[in-house]
Amino acid sequence: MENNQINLDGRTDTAKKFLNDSLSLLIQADISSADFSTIITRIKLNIDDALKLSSSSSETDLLSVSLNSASSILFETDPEIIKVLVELLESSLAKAIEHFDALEIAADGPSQAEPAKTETVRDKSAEREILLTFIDECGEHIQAAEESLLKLEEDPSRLDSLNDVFRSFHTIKGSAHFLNLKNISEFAHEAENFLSEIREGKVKFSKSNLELAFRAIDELKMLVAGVKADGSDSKSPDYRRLMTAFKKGGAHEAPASVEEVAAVPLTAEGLAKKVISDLEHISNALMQAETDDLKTFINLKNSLNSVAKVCTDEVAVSVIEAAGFQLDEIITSTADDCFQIVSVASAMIESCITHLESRISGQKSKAAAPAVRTAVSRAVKPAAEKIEKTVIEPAAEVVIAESLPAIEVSFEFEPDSIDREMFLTFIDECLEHIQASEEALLNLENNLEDITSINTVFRAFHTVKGSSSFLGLAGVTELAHHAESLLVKIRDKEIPYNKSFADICLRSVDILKTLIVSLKIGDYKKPDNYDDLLRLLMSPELKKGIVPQFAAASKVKPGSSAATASPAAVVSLKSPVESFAVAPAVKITETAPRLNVPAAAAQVKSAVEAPEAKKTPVSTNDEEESTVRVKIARIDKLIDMVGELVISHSMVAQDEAMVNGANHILAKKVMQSGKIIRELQDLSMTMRMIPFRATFQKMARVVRDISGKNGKEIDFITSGKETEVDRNLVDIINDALMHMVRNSVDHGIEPPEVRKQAGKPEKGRVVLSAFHSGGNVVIEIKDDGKGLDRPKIVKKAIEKGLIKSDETMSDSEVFNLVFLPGFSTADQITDISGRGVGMDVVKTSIESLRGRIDITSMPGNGCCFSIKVPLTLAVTDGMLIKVGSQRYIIPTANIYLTFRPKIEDIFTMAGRGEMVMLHQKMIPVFRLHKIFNISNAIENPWDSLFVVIDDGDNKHCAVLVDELLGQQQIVAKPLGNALGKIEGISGGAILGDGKVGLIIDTKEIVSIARQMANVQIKQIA
Amino acid sequence: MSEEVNRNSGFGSIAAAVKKIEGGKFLTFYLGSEEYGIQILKVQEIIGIMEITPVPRTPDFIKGVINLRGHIIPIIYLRSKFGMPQIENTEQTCIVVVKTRNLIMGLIVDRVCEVSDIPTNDIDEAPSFGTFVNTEYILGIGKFASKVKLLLDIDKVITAQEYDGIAKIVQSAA
Repeated sequence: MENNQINLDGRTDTAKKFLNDSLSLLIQADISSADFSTIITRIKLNIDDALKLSSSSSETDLLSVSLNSASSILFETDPEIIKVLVELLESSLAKAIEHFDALEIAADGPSQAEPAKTETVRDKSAEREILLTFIDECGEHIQAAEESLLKLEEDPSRLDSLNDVFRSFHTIKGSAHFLNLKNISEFAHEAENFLSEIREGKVKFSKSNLELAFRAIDELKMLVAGVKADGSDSKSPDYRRLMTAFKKGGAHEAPASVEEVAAVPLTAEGLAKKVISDLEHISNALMQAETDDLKTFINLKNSLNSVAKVCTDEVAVSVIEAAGFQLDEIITSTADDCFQIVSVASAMIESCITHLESRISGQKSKAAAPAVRTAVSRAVKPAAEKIEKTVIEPAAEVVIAESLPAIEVSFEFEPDSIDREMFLTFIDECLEHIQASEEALLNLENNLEDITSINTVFRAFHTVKGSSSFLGLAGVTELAHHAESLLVKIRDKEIPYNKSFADICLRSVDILKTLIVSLKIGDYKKPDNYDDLLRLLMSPELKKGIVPQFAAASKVKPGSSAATASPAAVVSLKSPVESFAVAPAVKITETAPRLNVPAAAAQVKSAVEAPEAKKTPVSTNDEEESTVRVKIARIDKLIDMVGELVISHSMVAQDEAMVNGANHILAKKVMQSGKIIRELQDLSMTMRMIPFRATFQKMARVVRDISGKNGKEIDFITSGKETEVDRNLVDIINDALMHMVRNSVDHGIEPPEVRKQAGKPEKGRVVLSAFHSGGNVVIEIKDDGKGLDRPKIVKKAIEKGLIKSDETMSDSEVFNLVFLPGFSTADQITDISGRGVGMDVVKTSIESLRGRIDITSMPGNGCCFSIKVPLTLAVTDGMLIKVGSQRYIIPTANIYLTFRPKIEDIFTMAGRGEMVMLHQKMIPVFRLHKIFNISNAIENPWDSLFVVIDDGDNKHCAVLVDELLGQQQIVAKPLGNALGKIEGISGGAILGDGKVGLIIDTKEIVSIARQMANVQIKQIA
Repeated sequence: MSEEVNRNSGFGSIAAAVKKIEGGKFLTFYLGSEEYGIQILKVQEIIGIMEITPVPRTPDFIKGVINLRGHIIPIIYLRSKFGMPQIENTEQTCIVVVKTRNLIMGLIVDRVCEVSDIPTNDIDEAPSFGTFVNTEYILGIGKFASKVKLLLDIDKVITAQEYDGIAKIVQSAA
């Protein structure tokens, strides 16, 4: 990092020097003098050098403009114009220098720490950079975790998958902590604890626990998405619930720590716990319930009533009853705004849970009771507009504040009083130690006997203690000291090391890290959990080797951000599928086959290690080292440039001097460079390619969720995960696939009973496969469900007036009807599909990629959708055509065939509409020269050519053009903002001769032609 | 620099006229006998006339598009835009490439003239000629060495909005 910065500085300096030299030369230069052109040449060379040093596109642009002006000056003879050009050059040079100045200011910050202003500027951008990396990383980790969980679900015995999930959460926790994203780090921490309890067998591995893990991943995704959106990790309504659920997973079933609970289930405490879990269940259901689903609400109301009967706490009872009252309002439909009431009710239940929890932890919360009451009384008011959590949360805070005696540790620190350099070294050292100890602690989790790891941690704390006391950082010293004394006991085997200690140690490390980081950013203060931890470390039980309950402090985390969770967050929660939008980060793989390596390597490794004692966990992380993160914009630019290179090379190759074959040696050289350029082009294309793995995994999740909801059992089989496709395509394909997979599961696969009757296996089967075929990628979704129902589609289509009868229609024509907007054969609209929007969107989005989609279906045996898209959008195949003196490009994908008609095949209708007979079918004819108003085109169709295209509704029509000039690869470009959208033209491409060729949008020219025909008919009428 | 930004943010012509127009360096060029000026900071480069690919179904003043080092940029025939007759290209005809906010385009001019420094005091607001002459894209009138230079508000010469309107007219006429 530091090094890069210095490099950048050096480059900027040099470039600026070049430019300054040029500018002073220019100002002194006299146009009339003889050596003027030499001076300009020197300037040109200078600019050229500066250009080589430039690193961003804006610099390159600025400098190439200057360079251009300089070369124009050299070629110009008219002194007047030279004068103008010189001034132009001057101003562009000044602009460039200004730009470099700005760069320098931005880059200056880190090297000298004194100037406050520049430092903050850099800090912000650097922080943003780190944050972005973090988000990217999180996306990857979340994805990996999800993948592992799915694996685990398939095969619960594979606990190594759990390790992967664990590792992902742990990494996220660490990074989040470093970035001060408290909610994420806490959440990840709890999730991590929960997972490790599963791993150690303290908590049973069950379906519901797995579900919890999946939800944790979803929640984490949302948190990360929040960070991406506005830089803060605000909690969603699910956050707290999940947190408590994690705690519960540990508390209920961990026999070592909470023995009393199991022994005395009928005490008030046990009862309260039951009430809490019931309430949590209700509140979960409430959040997931659709507002128009009355049955759910009635059920919930009943369960609330029964909970109220059991509960002994009068405050809780009154709150529960009030919540029930709210639900009544929805049931009796007197409320206008169901959603708001639901949130109020759930807020009430939440508050009740909080209250009960604080009761259980044995702290008489007299302060809390009235607060909860006021909260409730306000919530009951029909006009209550805010989610009442805002009121309730502070109450919880009061409880904690009251219950804990304060610990007096001085957190005053004056950095001025010590040597700055020493201070920085201290921080760096600390961070290193923290990292080492974290690693050691994790290692320790896998191998409880590993004494060296304990020593590492011990040493780390000891060193930190020593240096911090020297610097007068009492807070750090205190913490390190207590942690150290605990570790001594563990090391000397006075107390056995177990999971709970690991927890405490990790927590100490975390807090230490918080402290150090806060020191680094100059905001040294007591972290939230500090007191709790210190008390824990000092507690007498611990010294005897008993781990006291730490729950109270971390469970009821007073955070105002929970209250700020907006209704929008609630809404997005309801459709977890949509929250997948964690953009996949592009990874450049240095070696193409590497992508396949980790999985295979992992298998090999575990196979090799299996006979031996399983000592070390299989680690695939090391191999990640061989990738480099590159900004997408940079890759796009590179690909663009390579595209330009290809074109300009073909310009050279087609030059007259080359074509006439006079110079063999030159031709050979040009050919050689052509080969290299082609290779370069292929290589640059692969940079943007990413495998379908992530997409497929998302689909697996979709199938899992929907099938669970529908009560269908489905085998989801994927093949060709490693098939690669341009990343620009992936997002669009993702959406389309999502719709289609949903359709297959929701409509295609029948319920188990129906399948049994039809003699099929009860378990449905959906196969998703991807493969390369020609220059395209084909993705197929096959199911063994009921298939498309032709009569039903026809009936619906006739009902909707889309067709008159199906007599002349082929199966594929009928099936294609499902792609029409608003078409749905579903008898009832479910929350998953059936509104008739999906397939329409699918088709449009696939077509926007210049791809196509086909359906084949066997009634009773399922159907198969196959999507065919080009490998990349960067380069497309186009047919160069000529009309009059103009050349246009028609994308080859849109051309069905081309032919020259016979004179007797051309007919007119009512003297105007032209038609041509093709394969015994009449298709309409449109003349391109008329559409584009081009003169001197060939008028007689039998002297020219017809290009048959699709008119957008799967019908053919013929477009008249003069001749075909050949097929070529093109790089499609926009025509520039100034022109806006031009009907009939989708963009432009630079042709082999350097001129621009316009790309025709076939769908649009058909609609233009039809409009023109309509106008004509009106005029005649 | 900051004043530039202000002006770039596109005041209506009235607001711009009421506000005093900032002086500065202007690249001037000729269309017929009239001399026009563009703020130098908006000029990217000057290139010679080259073959232009016409774009169908666009108004007259859009000559077409060219390939400028791999970027496709639209070319505007300023004479048509200002309702002046078309003339044959000469040796001196050239394309001034201008860049504003997110638009980049080329303007065909008869002849570039010079870069002149016009102080704020020498710039008057454009007089109104009623509806006959559209002065919307005239930023102001610069008086310089007893000559008059019409200073163009290049953002107004072509805006996407205006263009959309024209496109619709063309379309309905077709």
